[in-house]
This record gives sequence, structure tokens and C-alpha cells, in this order.
Amino acid sequence: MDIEEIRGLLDELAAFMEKNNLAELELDVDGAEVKLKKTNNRPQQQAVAQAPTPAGPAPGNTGSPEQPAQKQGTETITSPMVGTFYRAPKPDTDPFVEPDDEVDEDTVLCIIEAMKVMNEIKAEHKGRVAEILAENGEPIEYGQPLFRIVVSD
Amino acid sequence: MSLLKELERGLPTRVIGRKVRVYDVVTSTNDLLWELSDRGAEEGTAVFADGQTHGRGRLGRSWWSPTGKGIWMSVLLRPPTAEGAVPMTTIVGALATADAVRATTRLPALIRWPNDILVRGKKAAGVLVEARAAPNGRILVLGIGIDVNASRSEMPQDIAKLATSLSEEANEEINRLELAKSLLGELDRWYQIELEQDTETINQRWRSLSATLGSRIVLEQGRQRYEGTVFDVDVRFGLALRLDRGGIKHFRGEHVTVLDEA
Repeated sequence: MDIEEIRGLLDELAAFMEKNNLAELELDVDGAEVKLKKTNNRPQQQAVAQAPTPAGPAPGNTGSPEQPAQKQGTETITSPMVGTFYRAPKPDTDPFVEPDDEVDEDTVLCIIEAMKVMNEIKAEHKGRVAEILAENGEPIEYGQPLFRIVVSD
Repeated sequence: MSLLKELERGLPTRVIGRKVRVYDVVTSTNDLLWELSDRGAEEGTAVFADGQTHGRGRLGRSWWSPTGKGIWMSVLLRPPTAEGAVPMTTIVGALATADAVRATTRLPALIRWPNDILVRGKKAAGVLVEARAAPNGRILVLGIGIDVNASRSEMPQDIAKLATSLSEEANEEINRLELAKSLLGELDRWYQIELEQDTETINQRWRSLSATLGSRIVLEQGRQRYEGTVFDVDVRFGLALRLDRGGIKHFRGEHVTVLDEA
């Protein structure tokens, strides 16, 4: 069972609990145990809590703090929202950036589509693209690393 | 001079419609409004153009915008980005468009999840929302295109297959100025409802205008394909699908990349 199927199963169980007004549910199928407990008033609350996340104050939050000892720091650009990751403005055009591209604060790195809102994510740093950590068209989660940027002085 | 020039006098609305700029032909009203935004345009500023040379839809798809035949407009918004606030701007744009079309033309406009407006099964309008980071929060440009008075014979072939215009469906010319005023009023009204985070009012209207509810669809999330029947639409929980292979699955709008009728 892959992660998508597990998510689907959990969605189904949560819907079942909601429908039958159950506070707890335990399931043992062929040795696979699932225990669900309603904490708030809705079992789906947890999954949904992540959904309504429009950008935090600054999209392209910087993730892990850079190591001060390094001469050139690395910044990880993480997703400010749940959405779909697009590396290019259109399916048939070149990506906004490729590894080794030089970028500055205003360089657009990607688009995150969330509720059909196309959110431009900028580099927020001057430097070079070291690594692209997500795939075009991939569903991504809040805080998921998208790019590593080697920041120039 | 554009028929819509009168809009520049402004409407007695709360946020959207007070400040309106009308242009003849522009590249795209979204692009133009981003430029105005960079120069400090205030929230609620709306731009209309008689025509667009590079009108666009989702993912850079081009949007046919014949001069003098449609409503091609964009409005600048800065909804609060507080943690937990639900991004509803796309559906707010779709609801306002459907309600304005209904009020002005009496045509049965419906919403195909989440950003197309259909009349009798064919696309008559679309919504495109773009967002950029701003020093304190986000700036959104909500773009709306409505095919108002184009005749079927002048539509490019590939468009005529899937799209229609309001005049084709109503069998009469539609007053673009009246439609534009109605649209601004409806946008202002629905935007207030969004600001109040009144998801229930939005969901209720959305369900009553949904062309997707009850229909069989195929959608893609990541690399997975799902087929089923839509039994609910909800701004918070997304689209609820009764899967053909059994069970129920919710799809948040954020993760659905392809949606077709099965």
C-alpha cells in the first residue's frame, strides 16, 4: 500500500466516523492495525488544518538556519503553502531556473498552485541554485524543501 | 472611446469598484494590474480593457479576447494571510461572475470546479488568480474573462467546440456596461463574505451553482488517477469524490492537477 492509498483509506475512515458519529475506531485487517480517535469535533481536522495555509508573511521561508562557520551559506527555500509545484510558467516552456543558475532576491524560482491561485515564489537571496528538491507537477506540503540556494556574500 | 469608460466614475461599493481604470487594448489585464501594483495601486483597484493581445488562463494557456466583445478585467486584492484563513479568492471570483451573468442576462450560469463558468455546458467565462509576496502579506490579482458578445462564427474553431458567448446563448446582444457594473458589485459583495471567513455562505451558493456536483469525473493527483462521482464541494475540505473502486476521498484544490468529465 503506498502513501496515497493510505491517505485515501484514512480519508474514508474519517468520513465513516463522521457519518456514524464515532469518537473512536479500531481496525485490525491482516495484522495491519489502525486506531483513530477524534480529538476535536471533526476527525478530519488534522488533515485539514494544513490545507488553509495561504502564504505566511514571506513566501520562500528560509528553512534550516545556515551554518555560520561556512563562508558561503546555503539557504533552503521551503514551500509556504500546500499546493502543486510548477517549475515553469507554462508546460511547454523552459523552467524558471536550473541548477547552477545565478539568482537574486527577485528571481522567480517556481509557482505553487493552491486553490487555483498561482503563487510566485522568489529566491529572496542572491546566490546560485545548488539543488532542486521537488519535481514539476508534484503535490507538495507546507514547509517542504523546494530549492537549495548557495548564498553569495 | 470604450463603452466601459463610464466605470471610471466609480461605484458606491466598499472595496471593489471604487477605483476603476478602463483601457482600449492591453497585453493582459493581469499584467497591467501587476504594473499598477508595483506603482502603489490600492486594494480594490480594477482595470478593464476592450481587448487583450496576450490574455491568458491557467498555466500560461492563451485566452481569446476579441476587442469590444467581452469583459476582460482584473482586480487587486490583499486578503489577510492570517494562519488558518482559507484562500477563497478563486471561488469568490467564480461566484461573483456567475451571479453577475445570471442577474444581467438571466442565463443559467454554473461553476465548473473551481474556476470556469459554464452556460449550458459550454465555457463562457474563466477566473485566473495570481499571487506574489509583499512586505506584509500577499498581493493577489484576480483576473476574470467573460465571452459576452462574440458570435460563434468569429470564434477560432478549437474554442467554438468548448466555449460559447453570452449573446449566443441569450440570442441577443448583451449590454457590457451593465454586466461590468453588476460584476463589480458582486465581486465587492462576495469579497466581503470572504473577509468575514463566512465559508458556509460561500459553500451554500457554490453547491447551488456547481456544474460539478453529481457528475462523474477523472482527476489526477500527483501521478495517481481517480474516477468517481462528486458528492460535495467545499472551500475548506475541497472536492469529495465517491470513488468508482469504492470509498470516499477528499481532494483539496491544492493537489488536483487535472480534472475532466469522465
